[in-house]
Amino acid sequence: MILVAGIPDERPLALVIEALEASGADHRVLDQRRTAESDLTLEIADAACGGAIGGTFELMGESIRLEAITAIYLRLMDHRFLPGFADLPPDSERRMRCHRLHELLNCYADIAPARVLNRPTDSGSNQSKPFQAQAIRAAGFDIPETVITNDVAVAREFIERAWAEGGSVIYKSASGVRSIVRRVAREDLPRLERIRWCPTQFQRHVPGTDIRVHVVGSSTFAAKIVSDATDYRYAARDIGVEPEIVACELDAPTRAKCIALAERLNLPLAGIDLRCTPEGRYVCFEVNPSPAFSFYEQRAGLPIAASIAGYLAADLN
Amino acid sequence: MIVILCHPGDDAALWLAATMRELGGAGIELVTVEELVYSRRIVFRSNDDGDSGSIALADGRTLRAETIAGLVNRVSYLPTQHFARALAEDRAYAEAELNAFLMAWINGVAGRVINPPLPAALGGGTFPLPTLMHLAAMAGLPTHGWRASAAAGNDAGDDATPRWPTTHAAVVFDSRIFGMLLPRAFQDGCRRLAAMAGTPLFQVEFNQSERDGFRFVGATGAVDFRIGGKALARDLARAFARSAAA
Repeated sequence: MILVAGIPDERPLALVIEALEASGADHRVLDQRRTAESDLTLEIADAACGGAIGGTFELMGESIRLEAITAIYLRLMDHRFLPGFADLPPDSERRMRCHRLHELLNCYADIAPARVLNRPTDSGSNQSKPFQAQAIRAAGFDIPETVITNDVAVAREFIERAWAEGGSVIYKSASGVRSIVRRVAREDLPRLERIRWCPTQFQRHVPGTDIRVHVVGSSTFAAKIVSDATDYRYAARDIGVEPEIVACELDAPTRAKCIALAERLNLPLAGIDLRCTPEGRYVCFEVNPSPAFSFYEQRAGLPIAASIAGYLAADLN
Repeated sequence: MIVILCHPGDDAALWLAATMRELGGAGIELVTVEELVYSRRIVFRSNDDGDSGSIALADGRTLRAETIAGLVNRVSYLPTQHFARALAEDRAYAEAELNAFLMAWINGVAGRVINPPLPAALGGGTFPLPTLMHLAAMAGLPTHGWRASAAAGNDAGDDATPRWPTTHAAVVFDSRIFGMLLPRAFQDGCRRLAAMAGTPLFQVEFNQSERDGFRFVGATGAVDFRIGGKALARDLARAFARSAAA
């Protein structure tokens, strides 16, 4: 049986559920918004039983043995902000139960003898982009020239050097907190004083074409993004033009590097952000462990959800 | 330079620094995590060739990741007192950013890091109890069962089973066992547990009673070096020397 957890009408999850239904794969859905009606009991057997993982998921009136779960797809929202829970006092029993269920679910997903997209602990590398960049570099990709600093003079020198060389610099979060990528402009320079409070990430802008590669097991799905926006995800808002997204083919070495990178990070499902420079060099920015692949699937016609469903169902028989 | 990165009041880290110096170690630097994150001049550079940069500490010392031959990682929390007066949202953002920087900085020092940071634990070597129980049982250590339920009021750090105090602790470092003498089978189990957890330096704890014999209690990467004594300190120094020579 396949367990799918998250918000069922959120687009990536909805597409995976649809694909599982289409393939007839036995699956159950945990709707995060209804955790008050669910329970999870996790059991670790003693040494005599080899520490086997067992327990029960009480899901919408059905009792499911964890031993029956062969695969898990997690796309969990931060449970602290779930509707129906976010406004509750921190010590309310309903809220605490929701918290406990998520803690146990994440713990179970980390050690479950199942195919898991992705194990929560492995998904954590995205909490530090420079940490992830070390793995990206080790996997053989180029990375953008970066400085993280709280020293105004250092940031200024980095920016002005880029300008002097005809380039530019962007700033964005170094952590997993979502941020909009912005190019540093001259009017931003007085604001540099603020970085004294916290080291801030600056990157040399890399000219070229964005390519999003989704890795599912050993399959890859690449899409080329044509946009003039600094951050194409916000192109409609920032420049009033939607990005053009089309399926594309990767050359074999780049495809192999993408798969190797996902393997290095223990992420059987990964959204890899590349940029192909005018010289044909691939620069890798980050690897998303919980990619919103629907954005690319729908625009580029890539069968990513079906591939995820196939990956999850591989051990069912 | 060998950096022992710890929090103020970390007696085990202080002991390690003193012992490594006593054993003839040169360039042993005790640096508190607080000194590092409160630095007024942090520069971390990263490009295709590697990581570089410097952190100027308030006492005049400068840390350069590329010249650190080894680092003992004792980070157990992220000091964020300097963000205390920020708005909650800004504070959360700044904490995440600082955590992101520190994880990369520790991971990026040129020499060996013991233990390497993990995304879920800056200090490395911290795991939820059910994970430890599962791994320890697979490693052949004498575990009892573990059970928790969301409805019953348990989370992953909690369970309904009784806790036993630690009576015996052994330290594994690079597959060598230090500390109290354990039965041979348990020594092998400790080695396997450290390997499965991916934590080269691991303290494995047991309870021993007349009635039940040995029971696995828990394990942590936040080792009390004093358990391993001078032999452990010497091995750590040798490991850093080997890494620097490689």
